[in-house]
Amino acid sequence: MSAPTRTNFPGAGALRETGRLFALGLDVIRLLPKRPFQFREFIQQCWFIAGVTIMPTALVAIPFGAVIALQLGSLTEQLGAQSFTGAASVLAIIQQASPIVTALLISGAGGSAICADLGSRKIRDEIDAMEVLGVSPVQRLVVPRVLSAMLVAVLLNGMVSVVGVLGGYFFNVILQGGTPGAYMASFGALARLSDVWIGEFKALIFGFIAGVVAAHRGLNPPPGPKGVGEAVNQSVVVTFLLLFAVNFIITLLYLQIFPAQRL
Amino acid sequence: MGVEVAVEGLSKSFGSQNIWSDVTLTLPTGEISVLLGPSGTGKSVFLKALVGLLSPEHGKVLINGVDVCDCSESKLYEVRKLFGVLFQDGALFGSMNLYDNIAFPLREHTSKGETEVRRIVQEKMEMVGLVGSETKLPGEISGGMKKRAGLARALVLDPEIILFDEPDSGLDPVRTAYLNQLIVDLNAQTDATFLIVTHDINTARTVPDNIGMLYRRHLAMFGPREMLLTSTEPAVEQFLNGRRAGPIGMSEEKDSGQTAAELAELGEDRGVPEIIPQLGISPGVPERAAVWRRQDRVMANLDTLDPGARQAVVNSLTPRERERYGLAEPSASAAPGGSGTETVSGTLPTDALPTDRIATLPEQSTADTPPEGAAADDQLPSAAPERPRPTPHPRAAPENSEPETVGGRKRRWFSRKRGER
Repeated sequence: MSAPTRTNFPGAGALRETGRLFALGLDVIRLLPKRPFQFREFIQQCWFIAGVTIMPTALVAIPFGAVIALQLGSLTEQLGAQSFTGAASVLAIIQQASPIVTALLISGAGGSAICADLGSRKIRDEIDAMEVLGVSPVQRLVVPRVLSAMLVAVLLNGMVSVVGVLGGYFFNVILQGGTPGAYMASFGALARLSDVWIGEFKALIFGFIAGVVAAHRGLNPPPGPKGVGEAVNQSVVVTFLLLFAVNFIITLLYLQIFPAQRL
Repeated sequence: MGVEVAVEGLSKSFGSQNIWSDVTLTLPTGEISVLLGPSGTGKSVFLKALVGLLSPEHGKVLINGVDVCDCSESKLYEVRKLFGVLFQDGALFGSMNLYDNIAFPLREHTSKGETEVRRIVQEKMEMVGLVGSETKLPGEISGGMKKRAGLARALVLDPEIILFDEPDSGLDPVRTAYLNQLIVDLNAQTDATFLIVTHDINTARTVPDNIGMLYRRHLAMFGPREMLLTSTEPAVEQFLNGRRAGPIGMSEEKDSGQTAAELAELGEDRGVPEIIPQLGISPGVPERAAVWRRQDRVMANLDTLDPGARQAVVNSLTPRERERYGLAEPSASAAPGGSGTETVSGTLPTDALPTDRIATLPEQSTADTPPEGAAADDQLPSAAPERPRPTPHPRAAPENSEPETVGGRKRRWFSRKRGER
């Protein structure tokens, strides 16, 4: 390309990488509808990501729900609002904890595997070979991986919500002596269906971010044999940073658009 | 029929490190070219720039009128279908077996049925000698097999341009010889444009029609094989001899004082190894049309070459060819039964050749010669022992392309560049 002169100022490298990351994200969206869709690859990746994430996610979800329930339980008891423990823990789990837990595991278990896979293909020249054969690696490899990360994130999010709420119920009712009726009643009074949707929506976005970041780092590993390892490391760290920033923005917007339900 | 690749003023840097700059050359249609160079001079980078995997800062790579360095992505993918690239270690897809690897381009780009795909894949696997290994995974085979499988995959779409990234690295001399023979035969069969990147001197001396050398971040020279193989340039000489004394150092170039001292010490031992004949085709393989195109081109531009190279070109001609290009008395070659290795220096003019005489060949005489010439040659293969290919060729195809190839266009690859001291 008749090269645009590369300006150099502090932070230019970071901006350039950010730009490339966004470019890859846009490429993935642009190539989504392009035929032929790599169905086989998609199914294989879904299976793989689900396989490596289901168990750890379930195991993380139970204590997560329990911690929130225990923490809130002791606080609400002092305020005399013990009957609202159920509602509070359910909202916290469905809206916040479950998409975040899902995304952390998708990125930590699935994303790192995607990144390592693409990175080793890159250093073995497979990606270059694919491009030279006239096949777009983004369409062929990245799109199915990002899509499967999104799908698995959405499905896992549902599982985490259920497991987390059950865990919260168990600790609140059995261990803290809360009443099942109050738990259910406050749950019904404060929680709305849109809370579930926003949780799922977040999981979808987080899955997308985890997939794109992992693919981006995998396709551009630092040079040398250590490069792929570094790329995997970076992909997990970058995903975590992005997740919390994006989560903050989505939550803010959601609370502005759908104000919390009054009693 | 191959496609010409024209590279104009290409420069590439990684960050602040310049890899090479202002590389200008033309890979002539259908010929085999070799790009030599010490390790780390960016030969592989050059290959990647040709296929648009890396974007150079300046310059153009023109293929069929499309600038690979500056065109839309869809056009780039279109142009890439002309290419077959053999990567250094094959670059096979690790998750697929050899059969699927080789069938991959066919399944992606053609709507051929599975029986047709099987037929083509079998044919290519036979060509590279991999029959029986269809179900093996790339992780289970040796480096040489990976290379051959990579070559088979590069060939399935019948590319117009084939690029080889160090086909001989990591192979034993015998396998290298087989691979080199395969390359020559492939060129004869497909008439595609070949570029081989290597640092193997033997490959460079026997396989190509044209040789270039990358050195000190620029293209030291590019031209017909005789030009580089008879070159007196110290770097080229050192490289072809594979010795330590000379301008090329272990990591970078040496300082000029040390170089001069080393060269002085060498004294009489200087000079490139003697030029050896090019590899011929295997029996049963059609002739290489490129040989004729190249010969016409080289002869038309003979006056631009160094005297040594000119001598080597003329020495390589058979008596019949000499007659054709107007270099010898017709009577001398009319009796080819004589010594095949007559001294040419007498007939070789010391100054520039009459180019007009060469460029405008008497069409009738060449049209007349084939039948009797072919017959004569069959009986007298020893007339030109240094050139195993048959001499007179039914010149139908080259004749058509002659107006463009010998036309008045500027021949860039003859412009020789010397390293600035």
